Amino acid sequence: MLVEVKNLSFVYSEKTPFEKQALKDVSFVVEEGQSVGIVGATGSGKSTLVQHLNGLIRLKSGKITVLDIDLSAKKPDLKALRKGIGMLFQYPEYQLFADTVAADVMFGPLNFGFSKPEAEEAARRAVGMVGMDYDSVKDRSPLELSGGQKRRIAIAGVLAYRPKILILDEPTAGLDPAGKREMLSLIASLKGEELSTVITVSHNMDEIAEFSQRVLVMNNGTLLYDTTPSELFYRLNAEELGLSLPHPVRIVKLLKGKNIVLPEVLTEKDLVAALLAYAGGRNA
Amino acid sequence: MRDVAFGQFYPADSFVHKLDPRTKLLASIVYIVAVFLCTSYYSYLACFLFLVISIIVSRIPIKSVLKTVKAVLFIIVITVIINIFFYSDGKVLWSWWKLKITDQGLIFASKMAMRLLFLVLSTSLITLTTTPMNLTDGLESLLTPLKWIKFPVHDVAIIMSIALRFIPSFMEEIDKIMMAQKARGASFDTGGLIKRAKALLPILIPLFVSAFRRADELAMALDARCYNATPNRTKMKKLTFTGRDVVAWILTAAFLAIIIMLRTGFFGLL
Amino acid sequence: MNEIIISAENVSYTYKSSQNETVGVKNLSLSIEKGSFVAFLGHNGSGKSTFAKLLNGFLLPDEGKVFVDGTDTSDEAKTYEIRSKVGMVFQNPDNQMVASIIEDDIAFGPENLGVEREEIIRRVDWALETVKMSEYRTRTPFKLSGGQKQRIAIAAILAMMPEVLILDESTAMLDPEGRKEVLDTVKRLNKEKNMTVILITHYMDEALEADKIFVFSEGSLIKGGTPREVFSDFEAVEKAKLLLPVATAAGKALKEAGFDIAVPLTDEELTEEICSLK
Repeated sequence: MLVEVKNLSFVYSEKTPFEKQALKDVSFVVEEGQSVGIVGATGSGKSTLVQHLNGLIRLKSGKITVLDIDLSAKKPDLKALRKGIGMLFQYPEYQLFADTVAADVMFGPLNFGFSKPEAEEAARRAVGMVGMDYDSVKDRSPLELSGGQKRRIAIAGVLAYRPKILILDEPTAGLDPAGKREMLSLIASLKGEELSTVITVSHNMDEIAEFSQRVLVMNNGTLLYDTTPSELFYRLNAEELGLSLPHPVRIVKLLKGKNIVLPEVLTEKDLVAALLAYAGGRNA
Repeated sequence: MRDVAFGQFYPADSFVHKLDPRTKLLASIVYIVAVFLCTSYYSYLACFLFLVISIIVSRIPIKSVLKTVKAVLFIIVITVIINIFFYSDGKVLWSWWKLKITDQGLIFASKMAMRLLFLVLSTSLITLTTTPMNLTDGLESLLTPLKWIKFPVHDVAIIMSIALRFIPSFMEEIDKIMMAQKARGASFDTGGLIKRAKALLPILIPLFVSAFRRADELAMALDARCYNATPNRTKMKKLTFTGRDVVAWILTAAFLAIIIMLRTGFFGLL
Repeated sequence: MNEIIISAENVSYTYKSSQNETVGVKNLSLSIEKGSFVAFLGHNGSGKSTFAKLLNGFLLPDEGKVFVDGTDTSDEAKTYEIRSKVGMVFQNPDNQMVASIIEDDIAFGPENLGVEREEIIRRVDWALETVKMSEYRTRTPFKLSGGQKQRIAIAAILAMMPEVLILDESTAMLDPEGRKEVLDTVKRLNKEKNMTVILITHYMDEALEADKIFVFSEGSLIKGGTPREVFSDFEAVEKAKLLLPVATAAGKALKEAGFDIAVPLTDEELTEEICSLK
């Protein structure tokens, strides 16, 4: 078990007029090798949940174990925790600060105790992993890169210290269509290489359908469903929860209403294949 | 980080809340002058009573008012200590090396402490009972005569209002950046002074970058709203004095009169 | 044909800094009809935002002319008239508010224009009602959702009584619910108040709602037409680095496989096409 969350509850601004229950009795387990999507409306507790996972919010009630580190311990080893579970916030390019790309990417590794040469090597690898040429960007200011490049560098800054788990919060927010496509294929390529486990928080159901084997649906601070995308979009009440259906799912459902039954596809690619198979097979 | 109590508006429906901001600003100036005119204990008592009554009438919990003192408590304590030890006149009660405590020193220090306390409490009563926007409007209106000497009263008011408006946004921003850097292993509370100062760079630089990005968009937004289109700018909200304000003026004037009479020994003549 | 509210004639604009020059737009001409709902599409740096800033006089063309309701934007005496006629809402809702109370923020525009006090109050009422935020009048904007904040930003522009409303990626930072709120608001303004709306966006779904789409690439206009015309031109879509809507992509695949199918734009249209396959 990489991550185990048991009966996690959290209240913001406790005992003030602004008190707000953000999480209520949330329990789940993430195994090595999974791609997990976390979905839910704004304010459903998604962000509070993932911030707990790498100790950015102090655990108050419940039990969390991540990579064998017990967060309910009096003084959990936060350094080891954060090294093992990389976290990319929304608009991660806003965290860039160093005067060169190399220094920025090495910031994490140096904090986590890499030696200078090790950190440099890690930076070279990570920048390569996000599809950029280390030698041509390492001495440039991260601020003068384009929007999409900045985000790649920010991702490299996390990949550099080789976390086992990567948490992504709205990784494609604010990108143009081409940028989105590139970012999605980048994330797809990362998983597998060495990152075994990816947790994605997203509002975009098309992206969740494409990437996650498993979805956690948050609703008003509770974990409403722990299920698969196909179950969520085809059987459960995703729309009632304010989660828009991915287009391929909508199309399959519309066709079903017309008595044309296709396999329950989730992605555009599978939809096209299913439609071609249907159209070609009608006359046979 | 977010617990900055000083200068925060506390919503309530009270006599003080409903006063015109200009009345409150002028009354607080009068009060500050009065505090500095105080000599006898009676006059300090009068100041204290005036303040306490104002606080009670404002319906702000005493806890919230006292919270604002916490921020400046350190300064008050230091002032008192310095005054106790370095005041040389009067009967010496205790001495050691160059330090001595005199009876006059104790009296002087306690008066000083009261003055500072009254100052802090009276100004925070204003910010607790007046929205930032209202306060800006009041200031702008009071400063209007300065327009004659080409002082950009309106621009200053807008700058203040925007600054107040952006404080919560920046607090939020700092929170986010800190989290992002902590996730990358940064720590902000270990090491010596220099190390700690250096550790702030990963927060400060993104904060500046974001401030510039915001400023850029804000500048465009101001232009889009035709800022500076005409020198004859109008105002939606007009500040108007009401009967309440007249009552407040009379009470404040009466208070000032009492303080002056105490100072001149008027009551002694009776 | 309807009256033209904005027309650009052979407009060019180049960003100049000490080190280099970047082309914003080059030799671009287009016109926008009064009361229409148009969308600008294009990748980052395609020139669509630069072009939008030429329309309200934020930028003045190096070459060519832009006319708003017959007025040349380069006429300095008319700068504010043009800005109040062509209102613009930006990307980050947090950076557009100047006051800590919503009604004060909305009054800011008309106050700057020297509008009479009673009239300002009427406009604030109307603008808030139009974006359906009247009950928030005396609150602070901090606790609002992104969609609500952006509706307040729209109301703040409406209070200046503009003829044209430009949304410069105003939905980019919002969640799906917020995007829907904003889109519904501008659609309603367009239908009910005959407001001319220019929507700059990266979301194809939003552009499909427009009467007309203009596609920008490398500072030029490479395609203009109805959503159907634009998304049927696969080459232009490819060139502009846009995405086809899922239904259109599926229809395209079927067509290329030799099936007789009209290119659909929406999921519903694709369903119809599949059902009517012979």
